[in-house]
Amino acid sequence: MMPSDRLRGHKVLIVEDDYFLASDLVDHFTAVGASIVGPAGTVAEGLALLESSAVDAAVLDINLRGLRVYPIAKWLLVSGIPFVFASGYGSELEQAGYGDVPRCVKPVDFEVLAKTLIDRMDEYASLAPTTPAGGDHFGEPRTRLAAGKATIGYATLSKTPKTD
Amino acid sequence: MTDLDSKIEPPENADLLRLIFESAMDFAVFAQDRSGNVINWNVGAERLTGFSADEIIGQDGDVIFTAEDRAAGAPENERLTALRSGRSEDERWHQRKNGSRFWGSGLMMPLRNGDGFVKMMRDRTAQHCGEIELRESEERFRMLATTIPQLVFRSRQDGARTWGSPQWVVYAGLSDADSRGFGWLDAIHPDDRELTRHRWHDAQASGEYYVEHRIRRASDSQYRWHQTRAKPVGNSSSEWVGTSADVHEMRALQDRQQILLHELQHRTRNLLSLVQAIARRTSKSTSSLAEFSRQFESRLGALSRVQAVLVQTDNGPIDLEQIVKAELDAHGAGETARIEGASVQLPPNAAQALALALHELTTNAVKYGALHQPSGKLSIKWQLRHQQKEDHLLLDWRETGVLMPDGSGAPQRSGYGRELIERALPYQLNATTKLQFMDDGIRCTIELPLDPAA
Repeated sequence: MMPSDRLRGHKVLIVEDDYFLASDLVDHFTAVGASIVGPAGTVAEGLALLESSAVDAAVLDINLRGLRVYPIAKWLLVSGIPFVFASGYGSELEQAGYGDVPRCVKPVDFEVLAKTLIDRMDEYASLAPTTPAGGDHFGEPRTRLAAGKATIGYATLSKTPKTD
Repeated sequence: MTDLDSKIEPPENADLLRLIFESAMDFAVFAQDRSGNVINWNVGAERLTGFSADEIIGQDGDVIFTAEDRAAGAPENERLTALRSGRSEDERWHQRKNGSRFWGSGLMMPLRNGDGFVKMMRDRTAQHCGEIELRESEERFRMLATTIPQLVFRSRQDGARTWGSPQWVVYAGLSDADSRGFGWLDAIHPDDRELTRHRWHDAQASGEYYVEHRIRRASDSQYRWHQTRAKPVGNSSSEWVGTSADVHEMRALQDRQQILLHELQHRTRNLLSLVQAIARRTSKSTSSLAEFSRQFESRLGALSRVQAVLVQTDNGPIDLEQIVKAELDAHGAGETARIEGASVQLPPNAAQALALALHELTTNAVKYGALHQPSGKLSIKWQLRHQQKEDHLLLDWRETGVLMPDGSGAPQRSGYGRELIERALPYQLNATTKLQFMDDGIRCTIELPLDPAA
C-alpha cells in the first residue's frame, strides 16, 4: 500500500513549536491527502485541539517552549489514538513511560516520518479494527490499550528508522 | 687459664673445645684482656670483621666498635657491666676492618680468672635490617592508612572486615569493633548492600574487589557515593586491603555532563532542522543557484551570530541591544542606524527568532531601503511595557527618507522574511507583528511577551 494512500482523508494532529518545521509538516501531510488538525505550538493549544476536534493520528514534538508534550501524549494513549514523536529528544522517553512509542529523530525525513506513523496506525488498526479512532471512547479504548500493550509494547524503538 | 679450665672446660675436652672455638664459622668468638687487647681470635671473628688473628692479637679489640660508640665509652661500659653482673649483651652497629658496618649481636662474659673477657658475637645485619624495614613499612602503612582522605580497611577474602582506619570510624560513625565482620555493612546504603556483598564473591575470581556504593556519612547522615577497591596483600589470598574514596562530587559532575550532552544533542538536532527549514524556504523564493547560495549563506551567518551569543551567555537571558548591534555590524551599518532602547533581556528562543527577523529587515534595508539609499535613515527603538502581569517588548523598526518603488507593488523581496515576521514570530513567541510599507520606507513593529512560559 502506498503511504500516500494510507494517510488520505485522515485527520492528523501536528504538535510542533517551531513555525517553519510545523509549516513544512503541514505542507507534507497535506500533499499526501491528510487533513491537518493544528499545528499546535504549545501543550495548551494541543490539548484544546484534542477537546474540540476529531483526530485519527498525531505527530508530536517533545519539547514545546521548554515544556514537555507528555500531557498530550497521555491523552492520545488513553484515547487509543496512534501517534509518533518527532524530536531531538529521545533518551528520556523510556523514563517518561513512552519507550514503546515510535520516534523519529530531527531533522526529520518526511518519508520516514509518514511511514513510521502509518505503521503505528496499522498496529492500532489490527488490534481493534472496528473501533473508530478519536472521539470520546475513554472507557473502551482504555481496555483496548491495556489488551494491546503486550503486543504493541515490543521494541518499536528499534524499528524506528533513524535519520542521523 | 687454669681457673677457667677447671670451672668451664673439663680438661679432657680441652682439645675438642679448642677445635670448636676455632672452627665456629658463624660465631665470632674472641677473648680480650682487661684493657681490651685481643688474646684470642677465631675464624668466625676473622670472617665477620675482616681482621685476621695475626693482625689483631695483641692489639686493641675495641676497633670493631664504631668511632661514635668508642667515643661514648661503649666498650668500657660493656666490660664494666660484664664484670658487675657476669654478662653483658651487646646489640649495635660494629665496623669491619674495611670500615663497612654490620649489626652485631653479642654476649660478653668475664673470664673466671679475672684476666679478661670472652665475647661471642653473631652477624645479625640481615635480620636487623629486615626488622627495621618491617617496622618502617608498618609505620608507613599506618601513616598512610590513617592520614589519607580515603577510608582504609583490611578484610578477609569474603569481605569480613578485620580492621578499619580511624577515618572510617569517624566517617561512618561505627567503632572498629562494630565494623568488624560484616558490621560495616550498616553504613552502606540499603539499596547497595546486596551489590556490595556480591562483589566480594566476584572478587575471588578477578583478584580485585571493586564497587561503587553509597556510604553513610555520620556527621550529616548523608549517603555519599564512594568507589571502593581492595586487593589481596602480597601473594596471600586470605588478607585483603582496600580503600573507599569519596566520588560523590565526581558522580554529580558526570550526571550533569550526561544531561548537558543530551541537551547539546537536542539543540544540535533542532538547529539542523532549522537550517533545513531555512534552506527549503530559501530555495522556494530564489530562482538561481547563485541567488540561493547568497541568501542561504547570509541567513546561516545571522543564525551563527546569534548562536555565538547564546553560547557566550550559556543559554541564559540575552541582551536585545547586543543582538541588534551584532546584526547591524555584520552589514557594516552599526554607525548609521539610530538605536535607542532600555536594557531588555530576552529568553534564548525569543532572541534567536528575533535575530533572524532583524536579519531579514537589515538585509532588505541594505539592498533596497534606508541603508542603501543615501537619503535613507534607520531608527530602531524599543521599550518595555508592563501589562496583564507581563512584561512586553515593543520594538519599532522605522526606515525614512526612502524612495519607495512606484505603484502598489511593495518590495516583495522574499517570502521567507515576511513569513518569518508575520507568521513565525506570532506562532512561536505569541508576538504581535506588523510589517508596513509606508511612503518613505518600511515600518515594522513587534510586540513580544517576555514571560518565557507565555
